[in-house]
Amino acid sequence: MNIEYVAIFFVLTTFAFLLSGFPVAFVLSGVSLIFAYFGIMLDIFDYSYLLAFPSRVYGIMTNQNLLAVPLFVFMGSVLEKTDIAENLLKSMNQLYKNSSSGLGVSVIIVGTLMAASTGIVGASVVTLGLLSLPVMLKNGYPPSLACGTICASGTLGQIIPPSLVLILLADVLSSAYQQAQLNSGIFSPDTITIGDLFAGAIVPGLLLPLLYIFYIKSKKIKTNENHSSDINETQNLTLLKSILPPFILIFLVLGSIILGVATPSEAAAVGAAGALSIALTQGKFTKDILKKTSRETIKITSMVFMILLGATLFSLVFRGFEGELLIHSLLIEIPADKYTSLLIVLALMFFLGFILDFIEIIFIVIPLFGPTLFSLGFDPVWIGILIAMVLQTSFLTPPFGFSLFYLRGVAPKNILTSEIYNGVYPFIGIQILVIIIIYLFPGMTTYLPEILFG
Amino acid sequence: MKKLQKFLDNFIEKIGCGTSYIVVIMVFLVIITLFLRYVLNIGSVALQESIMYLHAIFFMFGISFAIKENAHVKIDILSNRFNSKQKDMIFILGIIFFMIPFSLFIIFISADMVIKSWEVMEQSSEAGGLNFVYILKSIIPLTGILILSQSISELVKNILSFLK
Repeated sequence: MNIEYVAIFFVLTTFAFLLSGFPVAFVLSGVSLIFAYFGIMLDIFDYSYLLAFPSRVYGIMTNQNLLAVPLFVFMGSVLEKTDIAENLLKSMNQLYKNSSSGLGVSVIIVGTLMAASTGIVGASVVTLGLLSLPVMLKNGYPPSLACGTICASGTLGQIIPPSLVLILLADVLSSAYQQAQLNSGIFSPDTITIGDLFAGAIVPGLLLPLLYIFYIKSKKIKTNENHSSDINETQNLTLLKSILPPFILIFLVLGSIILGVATPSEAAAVGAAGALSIALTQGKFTKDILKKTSRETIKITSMVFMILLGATLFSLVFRGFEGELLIHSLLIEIPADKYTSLLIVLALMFFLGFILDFIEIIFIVIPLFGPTLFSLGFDPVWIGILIAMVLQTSFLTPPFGFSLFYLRGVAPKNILTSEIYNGVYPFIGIQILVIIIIYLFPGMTTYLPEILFG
Repeated sequence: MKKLQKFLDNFIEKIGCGTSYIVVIMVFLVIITLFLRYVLNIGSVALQESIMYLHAIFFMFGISFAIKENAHVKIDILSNRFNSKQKDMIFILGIIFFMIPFSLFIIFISADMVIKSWEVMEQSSEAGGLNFVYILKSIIPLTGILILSQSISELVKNILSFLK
């Protein structure tokens, strides 16, 4: 029996059990252990692959880059629980109460700010959906356009730094990249850092909301109410008050990473302390908030790390069944050139994005495919941004996009699911356009990291 | 049975709740690190390693708490259509075949590494670092024990709900 068939059977079985609705992390680890057990019984699996697990876990525990995860989650959670984003949105809505396209633009701008500050896609879509959707509908926005704008803006958290996606991607990509270099005999391998990916994501992260705004502006929206410009100074002041703190915070965090003053984890801690002080000055900091945000943070962080542990065990067992040969033949022997190999991996990630969260995709797919992909000589930052963009698009794509589920959960019942779907198609088009631009002009992602970090 | 389940749930709740505040301590320790570096020009390996230790405790001990709080990501495209008895059954089987074996695996597979580390009282590989590597490594089997405790509690919960 060819052992590679066992590897295929292993992957398919895992996916089948993932659909059972049992927590992903434990399906990954559990199925891996069962296959390893039978593999050892049948004498086709080397026990030593399992023995590597504790030192892998220890490696994850002592990984300095991953320190940024709880700190960024904590910062986002504080900003979310203290309603800082909510106030921003409310004062923006107030400001644009009477201007039609301005309302859509304000949703996109707030979505961008929330993406940069909290970076939690679910929270952004839900907040925008609860607060802006009713206002947009009342102002004569077609439901599909309103829903599309909210989904697309809320999903920006994936690509706009600092984002959890980019932090985890940087960690996994850099080890895959180093692995590829070691395999080809380079013993002092280059590495890529979280800062590289953050810098690489800035241009695409700004281009996307800009194109969204152009799209909204190009739509002629008939408003129900008469135009009257009654924006007074107090409104401007409240807007300034609510927009300034998160703005300063984002610049502080991103700036210190990009200027190299602080590591991403340090910048995250500064951001978290900043978020706490904003809450403090606005009188929203209570013992209860501290308890809630800490609980939220430990739950999200441990969930992420447990998936990492499960995926680590999964890839060890996959290697034990010589799954790497399988990937090698899929990426090197079948495709005509290296770009086809890249497209295969990106397409695979896109479709996996329908059923898996980005964390699982990053932890499962990249360690398996990354080393082979990098051995073909691609720029790791370029690949990283392409992956982040593809995952983001996958999240928006009907019928299984995560963002659509989130919005469906909070949208009024009289809005049809098909209206939500129709609304996001133009935004998916814009995303695909940006992916094509990045694909054709890699410099868009690699230029900034190069001048910043050399 | 019910008593044991309540006890385990409470135990994990206390551990998780206590551990969750570590993130606040981490924020302050990192700020202190930055202050020492840029204002006083001191770099402290011990301080940096203690942040690392805290981080490891934070997310490893939190895994069992996240099970209790039902915070681990699931794919519910299909399972949304199952009724509650079917969902209970999936969880009972999942806990028996996936979760409990994993918790036992992580305890036994790491035992060797941890025992060796305790025997030599393993020191930090960095000069000026914390010399408690054996404690850091002990977190791994302890995590296994915590996951096992919560698995048992969840198993009882799901069986009782299934029988109802």
